[in-house]
Amino acid sequence: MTTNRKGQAGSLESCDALVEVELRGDRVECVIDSPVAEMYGAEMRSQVEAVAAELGVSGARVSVTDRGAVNFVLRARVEAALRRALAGGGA
Amino acid sequence: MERLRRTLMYVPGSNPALIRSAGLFVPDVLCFDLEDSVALAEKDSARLLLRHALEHLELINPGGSEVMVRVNALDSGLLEEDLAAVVRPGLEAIRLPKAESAGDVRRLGELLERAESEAGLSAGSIRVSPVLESVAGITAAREIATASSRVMGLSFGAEDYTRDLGAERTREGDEIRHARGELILAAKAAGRQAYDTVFGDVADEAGLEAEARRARGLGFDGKSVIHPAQIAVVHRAFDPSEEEIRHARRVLTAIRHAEAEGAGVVSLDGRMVDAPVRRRAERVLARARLLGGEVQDG
Repeated sequence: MTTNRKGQAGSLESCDALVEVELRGDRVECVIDSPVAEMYGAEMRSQVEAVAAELGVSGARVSVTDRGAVNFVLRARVEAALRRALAGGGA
Repeated sequence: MERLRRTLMYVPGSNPALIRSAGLFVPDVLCFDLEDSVALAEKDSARLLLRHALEHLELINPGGSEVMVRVNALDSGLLEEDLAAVVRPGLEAIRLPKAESAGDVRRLGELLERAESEAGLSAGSIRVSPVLESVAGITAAREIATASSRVMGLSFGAEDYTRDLGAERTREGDEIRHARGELILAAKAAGRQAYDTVFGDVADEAGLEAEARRARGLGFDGKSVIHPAQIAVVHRAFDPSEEEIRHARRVLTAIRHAEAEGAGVVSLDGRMVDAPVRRRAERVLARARLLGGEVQDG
């Protein structure tokens, strides 16, 4: 039985986000843990989906633990985590 | 006149908080780092952070600092991917660590030309500052300075150089005096700038000021810094003082008067004002003009 490929990037430091990715399924699921989830949760979700689409990823579970990352930081961390997962899984 | 590069501030490419805030302190140059401050396992994600940051310079560089990236060395196997990530509109210069020959600079130039073309940038638009931080690098300073028109200035890295020499790093800097001299000579002979090494003790403001003044006195055009608190101190050391500006004005006034009267020799305060004195005065005033209202008492 094969395990799903995983990847993670970022950290829990201030202004950063820890993004954990598991490649699975046929849609992009997003779990957001953020102090501003209520106000920005939807936007963060769409950032994650946009990056996944750019990389041609159609099935993934993406978990974001946000510590005040601005958009471009979040996108960079999501892209890094996805690429690491695609490369064969690794942190 | 070449632009001001009094301070070149290193910003670790793996640190989102520092990437976001560094520009607020307005060093003359923001030097985002992919080399020594980024662990090997994090090179890939740091490249992505910088790539995305470069797409949002309006957020991270409100003060208009020059945008530079220190990539990994030619022999690291990481350089080409570094360039693929950061060579894009917004990038102005690359700092090349461990430069040891003209060939190194030319090789980087070839890679840059390819990357510029892919990014839609005009060929040659990205400047290069080779870092001389080894015996071989300092020995080859003159050929490195003239290796390419992209080279706008030579950077000195004292830590690695001192280790390579088998010497001990000291506050007085005896062990690096010769290397500083070689680097400045090579840079100035080629009409380029020279940037002094980092002063590592962030808490020692007096020590930094002394070293920065000494560097300026030796002919350096600027100094690398590693913390925003160092910026103001180094700028003060590299800016012309009110006294120097006053003197420069008097020199040029004396020259104008002498020319108007058809006198062959100009003298001021009992000293001859010849071509080098005139050039120095013109340089001081040009720098003062560049600084606008920022000039402080020395």
